[in-house]
Amino acid sequence: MLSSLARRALPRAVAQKRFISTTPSRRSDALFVHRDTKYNNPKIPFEFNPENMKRAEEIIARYPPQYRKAAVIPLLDLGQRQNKGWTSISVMNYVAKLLGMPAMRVYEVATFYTMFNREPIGEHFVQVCTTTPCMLRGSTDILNTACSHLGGIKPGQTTPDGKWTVIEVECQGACSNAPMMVIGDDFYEDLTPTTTKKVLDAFANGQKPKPGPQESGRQTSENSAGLTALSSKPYGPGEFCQPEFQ
Amino acid sequence: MSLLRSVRQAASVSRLVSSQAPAAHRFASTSAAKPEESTAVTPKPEQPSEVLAADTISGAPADLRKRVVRIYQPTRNTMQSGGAKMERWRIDFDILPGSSRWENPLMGYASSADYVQGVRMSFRSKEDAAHFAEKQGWDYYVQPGMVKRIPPKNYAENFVYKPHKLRIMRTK
Amino acid sequence: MLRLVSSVSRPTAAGRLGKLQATRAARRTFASTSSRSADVTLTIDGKEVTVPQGTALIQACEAAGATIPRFCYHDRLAIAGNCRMCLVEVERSPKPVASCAMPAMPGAKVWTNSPLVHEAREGVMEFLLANHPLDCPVCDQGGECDLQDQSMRYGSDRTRFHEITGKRATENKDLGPLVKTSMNRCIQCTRCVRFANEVAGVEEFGTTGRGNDMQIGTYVEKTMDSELSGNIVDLCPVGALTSKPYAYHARPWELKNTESIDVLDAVGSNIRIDTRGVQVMRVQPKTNDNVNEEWISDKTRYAYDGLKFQRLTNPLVKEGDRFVAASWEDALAAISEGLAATGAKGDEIQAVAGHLAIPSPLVALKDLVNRLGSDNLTLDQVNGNSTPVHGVDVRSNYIFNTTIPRIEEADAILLVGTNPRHEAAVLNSRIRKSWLHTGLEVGLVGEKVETTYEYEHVGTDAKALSAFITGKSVFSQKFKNAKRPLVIVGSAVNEHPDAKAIFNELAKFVEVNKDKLVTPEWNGFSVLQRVASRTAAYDIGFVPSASATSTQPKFIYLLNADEVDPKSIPQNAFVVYQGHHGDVGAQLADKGSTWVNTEGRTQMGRAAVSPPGAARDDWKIVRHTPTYDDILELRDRMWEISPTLVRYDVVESVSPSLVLAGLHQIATSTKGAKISGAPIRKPISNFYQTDAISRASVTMAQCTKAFVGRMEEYGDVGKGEQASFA
Repeated sequence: MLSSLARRALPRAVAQKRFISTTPSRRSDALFVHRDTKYNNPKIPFEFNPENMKRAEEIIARYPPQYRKAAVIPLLDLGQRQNKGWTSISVMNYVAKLLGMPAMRVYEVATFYTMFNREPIGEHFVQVCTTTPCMLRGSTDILNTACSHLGGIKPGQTTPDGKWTVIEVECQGACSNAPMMVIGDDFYEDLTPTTTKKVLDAFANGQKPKPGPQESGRQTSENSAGLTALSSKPYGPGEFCQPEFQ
Repeated sequence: MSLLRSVRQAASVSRLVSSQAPAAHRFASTSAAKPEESTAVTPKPEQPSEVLAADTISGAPADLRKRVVRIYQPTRNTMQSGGAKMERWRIDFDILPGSSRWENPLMGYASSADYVQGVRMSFRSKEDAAHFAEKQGWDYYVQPGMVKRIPPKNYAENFVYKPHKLRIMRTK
Repeated sequence: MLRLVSSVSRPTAAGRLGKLQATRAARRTFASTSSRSADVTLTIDGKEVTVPQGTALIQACEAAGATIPRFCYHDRLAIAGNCRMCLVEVERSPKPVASCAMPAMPGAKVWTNSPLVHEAREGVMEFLLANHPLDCPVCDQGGECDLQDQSMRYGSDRTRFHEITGKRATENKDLGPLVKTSMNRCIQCTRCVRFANEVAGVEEFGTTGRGNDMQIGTYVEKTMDSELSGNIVDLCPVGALTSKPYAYHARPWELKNTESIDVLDAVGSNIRIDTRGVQVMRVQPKTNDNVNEEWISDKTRYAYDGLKFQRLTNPLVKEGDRFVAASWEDALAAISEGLAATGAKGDEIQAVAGHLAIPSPLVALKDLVNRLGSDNLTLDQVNGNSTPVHGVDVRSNYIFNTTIPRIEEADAILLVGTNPRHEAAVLNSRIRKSWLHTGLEVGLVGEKVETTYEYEHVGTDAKALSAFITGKSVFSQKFKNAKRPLVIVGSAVNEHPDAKAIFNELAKFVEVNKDKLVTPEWNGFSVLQRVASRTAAYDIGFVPSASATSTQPKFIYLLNADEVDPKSIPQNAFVVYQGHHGDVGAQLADKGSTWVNTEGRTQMGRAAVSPPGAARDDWKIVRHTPTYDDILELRDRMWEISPTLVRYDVVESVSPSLVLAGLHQIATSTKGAKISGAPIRKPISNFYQTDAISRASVTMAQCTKAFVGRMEEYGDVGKGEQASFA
């Protein structure tokens, strides 16, 4: 008990000043044991709405009938989306029942994958990547900016108004556009503290900024210094052909 | 080996001149129990008729005869995966009803009137063990060794496609 | 069966089974390629072994006599391949290979003792120990801990683990009153999870989280609700799961172990009783593939503390309304006086054999009572004072003819009035095993119960059974199509008002379908006894004669009979009770004895500790008719009565003609029996307390409190069509 308290407290202290030799022992996720709370207990009903139910059936139909269990990840995701971005125990139980699986097998999946949030999150879910490439490109600044801009919360916390949750995550696979963060389902890349604030402000105002590189002049992940190869004009059709075909 | 032979010779002498062989008795009683275990090559068991009752020369008390022993191969301790000491055959004694153990009222130690309650002997084969028991004049019961039936196992079984309804959802 | 063939001369466990392998012709002609055999030959540490195709490399290595350290691999569980301790070097493989997850390949060259392997094991061990607390001095597993042993043997003497945040800490889980957890010690081998999932059928147990944070548990708050849960204590290679009742009681090196037989159900599980001084400290399973494999039920394992409490250690004689301790002479004198005073003659002398009565005193008691001119031999059960429906003349009418290991061959099982989960928990795990791995279909006639496999509920009474037999129920078609059908009749059927009708129907059914049910290869009619003494009692003929059933007894001799309804005992009768808990006797751990299990396998139990106080062996008490002076003489008498009683560890196979003759006898003796339609109730509602020992056990009382009430709550009877979810 004591040690778990200590461990929970530690990342906060470490977050600001990070040494090479230490890693925060707790990452994005909380305890891997369910505790009944007011907002998360098996008695809270959950059911797919008709629209999601239709999608769920579609997903289940992709697999052989005896392997309905294969649909557990997409269904949990569906449930998470319907349940305001987090997977409550009721969602897991419901999915287990729908797929005819022992509930524990669903819990195993839901706790294994870190993208299933087992605690409620804010309306906007900000995930800042802090893995090496992003870190080298200044993700610590991005994280700090995001946290301070959202009212001085700590990574892993939700703002008191329930609008924002910021967490650090591991590599999202957008290293060529480091540093980056994910808000909702979209990647915001090539961030600087300024652009980070802009993106966050836009969300705060109810807009949805364009995903991808932010004000870096890049379209996607092309070289920011311009092309180093294939820089000449590609030859057109027939250019090097026999004269009769030109 | 040679020791045993000398014991046997001494015994045959004692059988011939039974009244005059106290020295042989003495000799055998101090060393007869050991060589059976320590000799690398155990002598071939002889016909029961030729079994020499050890206590005739060993000086072992009469209550040691007529003890019931069990000859068995110990099974693996299920707490552990190691299988050491499972290949040998073991002799141990059935407890003496009533006199086996009691608790010392002063210290709570367990006391016993049975001086072989802690004796446990190991042999390379059950024949050796049976021979030894016969020699000692013990009633013995040989508990047959157990056959282990473990089917061939395969990691791939975890992922084999099942055409019918799944009866188990495997996990890690 | 794994036929392990070894060319190695070293006498290993496998080598003994195996045969020498002929060297294969090295020359290949053009015309023929070598035939593809079902066996593969490979070289392990320079020794050639041949194993069946599809064998895991670790098994092949064992066959070659090489010891492979392991944590997650277990012979009786599915392979997980997650501890990495069993790494071996395989030729032309760039890395060491986990031998449990690697199939044995033909021609492979494997080294289990090379420098690479040593280094790999050392590395793995370092990782395992990185998060393992140094609890050994206070850990109950100490002394029989795989991690301890293997780290000494294969590990390094120093670590490079210097995480300032400390070792991983995990909350302990509450798994009920039997299993104590200390999850910090867990190395995540998941043996417990696989056991629960596969063998016990408890699918609430699993792993949550990932990586460093992974932990074993149930995620939500739940106890492990299984009658086999104690086995996870054995399986755990470290001290994460230890026995709660045994906690801090003894160290393994202090214990004297005695191999014996369990008596708390009729399976006759092989056990090893660990004792220290005068006390039984714990009960462990003993591996026997013919009976209990490697498992024992929780009752077997944990009811031993019942041996300590409420034990009668001295004979008690009633004086007024008090029981007064007496000497054996006085007690025996009181009995003979009592017998004379009641004036009981002939059948008025009744002997009642209880659940835990062992064959030798039963024989002695029967001979005693018979000598006194009585045939009133009663069994301690409902209708125990009437002749059993199946009779006792033909042994195949009341034993488990199929034999326990062959349950796995059945492809359809009809359970009649029985819940094997509670009546024979270990046998039940066989049914589950077969149900998982083959296409076994199970049907049940009787009260709906929670099993560890799915079943089709045919009905609750004898009418449903006749519907099944006439082919009206859905399950009858499946049963008809089965190649090896099996009918398991519960012992409770014999106690049911419709017993005659049920047995009649079944006997006729088996006769009609004899080409499938009773053949020289397959014997598909089995009776599952639930009480340890019952088969032997029937073997001995411990049943009343027809005239005796209606006689009011005046002198009653209760031998271990603890279930007797006090109302059934006449007021004026003189009662002698011989037993452990409630006259004096010795038992389970105290008795060197013979037991006959439900399949008619006679096994020799053994005394582990001597009986407390002035307790005496049962047969010695009954001996006061000086018939038998020593146990060997008594065994000779048992041989006269029924040779099977002294043929230890053997199941006599019954010829099909005999089985049919027996059933024909049933059919004729019960001809024209009417069906009353009374529902068949399960005989055991509380698995944890079924006899004198388990009722005296504190642990079992705790289990009852923790599990039994909840079992009812979770859909016990009649809630869903399918009572189980597997």
